[in-house]
Amino acid sequence: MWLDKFTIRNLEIVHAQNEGGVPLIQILDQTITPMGSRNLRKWMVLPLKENVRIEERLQAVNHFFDHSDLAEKISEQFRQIADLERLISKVAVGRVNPRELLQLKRALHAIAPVKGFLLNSGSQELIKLGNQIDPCEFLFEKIDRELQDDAPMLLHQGGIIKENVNAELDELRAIAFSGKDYLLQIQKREVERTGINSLKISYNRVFGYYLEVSNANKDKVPDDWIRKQTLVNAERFITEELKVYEEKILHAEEKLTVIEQQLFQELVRHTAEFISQIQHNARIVAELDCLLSFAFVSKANKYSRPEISDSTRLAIKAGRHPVIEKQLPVGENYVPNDIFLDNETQQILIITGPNMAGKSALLRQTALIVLMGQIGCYVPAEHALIGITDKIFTRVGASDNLSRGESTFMVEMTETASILNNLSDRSLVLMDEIGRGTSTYDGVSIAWSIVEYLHNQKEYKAKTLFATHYHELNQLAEDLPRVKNFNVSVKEIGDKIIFMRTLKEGGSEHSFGIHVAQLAGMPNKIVLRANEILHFLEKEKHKNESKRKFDAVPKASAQISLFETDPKMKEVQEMLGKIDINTISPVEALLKLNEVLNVLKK
Amino acid sequence: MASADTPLMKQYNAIKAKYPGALLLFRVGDFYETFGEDAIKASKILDIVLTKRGNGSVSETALAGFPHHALDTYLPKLVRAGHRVAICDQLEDPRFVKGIVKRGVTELVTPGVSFNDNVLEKKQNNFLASVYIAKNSWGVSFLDISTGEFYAAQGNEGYVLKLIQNFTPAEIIFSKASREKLDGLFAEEHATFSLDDWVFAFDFAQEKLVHQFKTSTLKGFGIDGMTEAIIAAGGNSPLS
Repeated sequence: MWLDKFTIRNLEIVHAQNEGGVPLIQILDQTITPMGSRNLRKWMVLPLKENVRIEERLQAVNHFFDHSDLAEKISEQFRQIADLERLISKVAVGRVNPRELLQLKRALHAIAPVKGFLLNSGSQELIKLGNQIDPCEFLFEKIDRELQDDAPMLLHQGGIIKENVNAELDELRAIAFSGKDYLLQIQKREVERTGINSLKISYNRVFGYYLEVSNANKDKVPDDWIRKQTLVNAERFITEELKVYEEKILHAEEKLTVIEQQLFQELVRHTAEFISQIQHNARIVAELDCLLSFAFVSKANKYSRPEISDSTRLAIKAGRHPVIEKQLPVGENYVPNDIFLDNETQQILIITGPNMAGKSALLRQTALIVLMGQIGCYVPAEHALIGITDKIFTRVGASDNLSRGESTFMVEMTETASILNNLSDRSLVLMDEIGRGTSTYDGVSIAWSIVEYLHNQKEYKAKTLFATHYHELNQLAEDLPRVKNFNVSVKEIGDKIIFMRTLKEGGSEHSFGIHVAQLAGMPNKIVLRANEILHFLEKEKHKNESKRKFDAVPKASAQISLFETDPKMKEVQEMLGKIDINTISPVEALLKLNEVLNVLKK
Repeated sequence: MASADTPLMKQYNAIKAKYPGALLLFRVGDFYETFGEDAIKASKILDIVLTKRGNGSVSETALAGFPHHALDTYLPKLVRAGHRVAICDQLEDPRFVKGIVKRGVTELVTPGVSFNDNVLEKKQNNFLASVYIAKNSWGVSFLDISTGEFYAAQGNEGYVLKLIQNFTPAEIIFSKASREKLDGLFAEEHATFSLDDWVFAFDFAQEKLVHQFKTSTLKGFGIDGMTEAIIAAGGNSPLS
């Protein structure tokens, strides 16, 4: 599905537009693995447009929805998988450390039972996914056999490889450890020989192994001991014997490290042979993670399974905005609304109503419901029939781009132009407050002709939701059969207004902008004066005259003179007007004709 | 620099010349050091002391460095600041070598090419995008080296720009010839880098891709225009 570049931003799919805003992905992302998160992001910016593939996902989600114990079992396994995708990439370039390889092993171990769960699930789609998992048992066993269970992160400190893996390694370890045993024996022996009970053998990097004796026992030290270091409370000595063993042990330890490193690299090389299987496993896990996330979120937020059809109808019953409904204060419920659009009877909805009444939310939720349905997730509605949409265009909200030298209106026109030039029969177009950045007459005119264009386009009947504060546009419903007026209702109780937020048929009369100003805290003087002026305008000019004015707008289907609207033709008209047919010579006539053709070719 | 350069500085300059546009981390003993302009930048970004080497002599150079084991702490900061970083290590054990020890760049890290967990975001891919402008269409490809994902597509300008918005790459590369146009478009929101034009040639690209994916033809994938693109990335990364 084509989501143009403004749409992803305007609908706040993966990024919030303002600080502190919540994008849709935050609501839908209950994935367990990082791969799932990344995959979800991709799915959300590239929704599907084939019925079959969408159904596949929905079926799987359905299954998890109905079988939460299976979902839980699989989730449990996923919690131990970590970022398999990135781990295996590190193996590919040989930059993985022992601890990471352990993680890989654990991940493989966790994936194995998932295959079983999927194959026994009874769901076609899940079985299909299960068949693609390769538990790589051979690799798992090899790592399990060779890698220590508590292998470290660093490579040069040993403790990486298990016993019975390599004969030389085991031998050297024996020497290293028995050497240490032997040192203990030396210690015991010397204690007995000298009678110094508090005698210790220790090690440090400067002197190596040494015998440490407290000052009290200094005089009991035999002659064959060589003094090495004096401390405040003790003295340290070495003996010939000690040094010989030290040599053996250190040498063994050095060689040990080298061999362990080599063996580890071998293990990594071996793992690298399984890269494509593991990568594939990671993809399957990522997909399952997303499907599980959908099921979880759908249940928690009471979404329903959408009906995806090949028709061009969009029928939403009691639809809600997935992000806003989660951000309402306690006690307040989101007011659901029905929306119906199709290419034959109700193609364009003109939605008028006061500011803050919820027009924008309505537009956005419609698009989000279509999007969510087409990525294979349930939707926030009682029921939704979604005719496959292949493009969603939005023009919602004013955005200045002062740093690039474009005003609000310029940005708006650019965005709108890109929409109108790329329509298709299965497009969904959302326009919010077109014409906001310019004078009223300009704005109304432009909005008017845009709606007409969308309606009269022979090849593509793009379904459109057009939110506006220009009630003049309500006139369009009378002339264009597939344009219908709706309004977001508001109740006036005395002096106050209450936003009902329900969509009702028919145009709206008032704008309530002044009420909103009052709500915002404008000084009372201004509000009162504004009301006065409004009444005056409404009585005198606004209602009657401008209605008549717009009544009289020549219909587009009527023959608007070609010469009046096309600037090129205007120029030609002027040129022709200057010709005096009685005095012009044939040659001059030909030249004039040439000039006219040149103007038209421009 | 002055003509009386020490052997170390000569070695440094030779390596630096091979990686213009990148900040060079030069391993000297236990430290990774930066010199000259690099040092000034590094000192600012990493908040480390800017000092001098060869103090008082003719070839005084600015110097800033950090211990080698702190690489994982400092490298991400440099990359996040949008720099390409070349890591030059000592290739031999100094204990066994007479004269100056051999050094070479072991890794080139850029915002779009990174394995480091401190630079990568868990919940997002880290894409390196490559854009190629041909006469009738544009080509684009995306590579995430940390996950091994690779996508390629071709279309008009609008299509390519939309894809770039979708994938939000960390870094975009393109040929020097397109630099003016593309830098203007992308430089605001993405790290960019331009490569020599020869990298964006069809034969070169075709060969590299075929080799990478071990197939005999690229019929199964899309072709033309864009494949050139990512090869640039492939050439860059240690993976190739």
